[in-house]
Amino acid sequence: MDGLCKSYRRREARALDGFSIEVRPGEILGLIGPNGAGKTTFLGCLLGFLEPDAGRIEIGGMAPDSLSVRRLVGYLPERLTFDRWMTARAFLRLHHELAEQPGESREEDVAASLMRVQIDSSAWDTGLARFSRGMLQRLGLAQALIGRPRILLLDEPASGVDPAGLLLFRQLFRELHADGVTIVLNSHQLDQIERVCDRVAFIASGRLGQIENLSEGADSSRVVVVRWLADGAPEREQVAALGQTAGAALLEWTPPRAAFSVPDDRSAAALVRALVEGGIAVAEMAPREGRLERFFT
Amino acid sequence: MSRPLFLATIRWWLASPIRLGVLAAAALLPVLGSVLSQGRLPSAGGASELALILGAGIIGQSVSTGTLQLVLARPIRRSTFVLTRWLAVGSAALAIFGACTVAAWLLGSASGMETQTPGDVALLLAEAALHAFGAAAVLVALSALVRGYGDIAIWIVGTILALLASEVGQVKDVATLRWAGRQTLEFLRPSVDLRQVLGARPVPLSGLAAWAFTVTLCLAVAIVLLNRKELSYASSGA
Repeated sequence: MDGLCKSYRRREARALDGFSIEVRPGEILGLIGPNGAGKTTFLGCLLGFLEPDAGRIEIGGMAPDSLSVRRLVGYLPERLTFDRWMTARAFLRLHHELAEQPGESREEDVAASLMRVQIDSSAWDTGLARFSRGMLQRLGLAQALIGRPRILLLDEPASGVDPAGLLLFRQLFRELHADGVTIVLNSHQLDQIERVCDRVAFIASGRLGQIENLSEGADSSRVVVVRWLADGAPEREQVAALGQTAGAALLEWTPPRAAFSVPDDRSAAALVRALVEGGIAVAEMAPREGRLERFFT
Repeated sequence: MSRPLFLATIRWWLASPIRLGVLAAAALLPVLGSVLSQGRLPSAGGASELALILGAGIIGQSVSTGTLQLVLARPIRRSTFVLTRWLAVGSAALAIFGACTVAAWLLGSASGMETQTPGDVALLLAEAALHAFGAAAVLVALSALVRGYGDIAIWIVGTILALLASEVGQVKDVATLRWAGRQTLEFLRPSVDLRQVLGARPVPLSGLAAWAFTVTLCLAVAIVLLNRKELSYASSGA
């Protein structure tokens, strides 16, 4: 995707304004950004639903609206606009057929998809009008997975999903990643993005702000909270001094916790080592904020 | 044509009790009329009415509910979508009309009324096919133009205006207005009087050509409109 521009008739600002990005095969790319930043427009262009005003999009060297690309792509929209009069099973049967999958494996594939997203078999022949938001979201993901797509475009997949569903989705994304499926994941759930994505693109005002490579270390400064076992009782001065030797500044003192400012990953590792070597029984160290939260502050 | 889309369209109709009720009334009343009128078969125009009932919102509903997005994310051409919906509406309207006509004919024959010959019935069904697929094409074009059930609203308003224009043109003796009204009505309900066509020598093909032109134009317009339609809900402000 190169130099993409897209405007809408009723809005003055461009939804995409010279947006360029390359999605690597087999990666999970997260999209984050404020509302109206252009994330859904980006997905719309990738699906060939929106015609860009300028710029170029190619998926494997092909136009996004070519049928060959459609055979590779699975899509879950943010707004679950399913035919509510259908049953879950009939809905997946339809998409199995639309995805040009063989008829002889239809029933088996549909059942496997429903089981994969853990929809109870008692609900398979229930009308979708009676499905909760979370169940619809699970069904939406099952629909996107029909036809074994190599590229998945997911718009807020975990919206309205319960904690068990979130864990399931995360596990599914990891399995798909291991199978080499390329996933573009648009989500406001930074925690989920941080846990499953290889890279994260921060989009603002239709432009690509920054790309964070989550598989690499963080070079940015941040605040980490250290907790030690309560049976030891270190003094504030001792802990501050140990932190200083690692290049970390003590910010807050609430035993058995202390918050430090660290400039980078190396300093965070040195802080743990210094505290442990100083005789403090460190139980855990965690960032106070997620790695992606700084984009929004 | 896409078989799964064709079947899904039929299932969509079956899931709507209101549409089924209106459809049943529109299909069965002519049969009742036929029995009461001593075996006279229903008019072929009834197939147009069935097509209008079946075709209301045939594309516009899929656009406004957003279900079209999921379908077109699959390897389906937009033109295939349009043509499949047109075929579904036309063939369902013809099938219902055909079943009712044959039922009325059999009822008439069984009760000893003066009935039409099998040839008359076949000609009526051929004419009904032109009515059904013609009206379906018009509605598909209107449905690609507006969301929801706006297509049938435009059709009704267009028909009323055309009738008014025709009447006013008649009363005030304004030939242009009369002509415009008649042409609009013919466009909104494309049909061919096959008895007249087949009875004349040489066979006049202008009526059939006009029907084919209207249907082709409507389907081409529907395909162009749908091809140009932007489907992401981001365009609505998300």
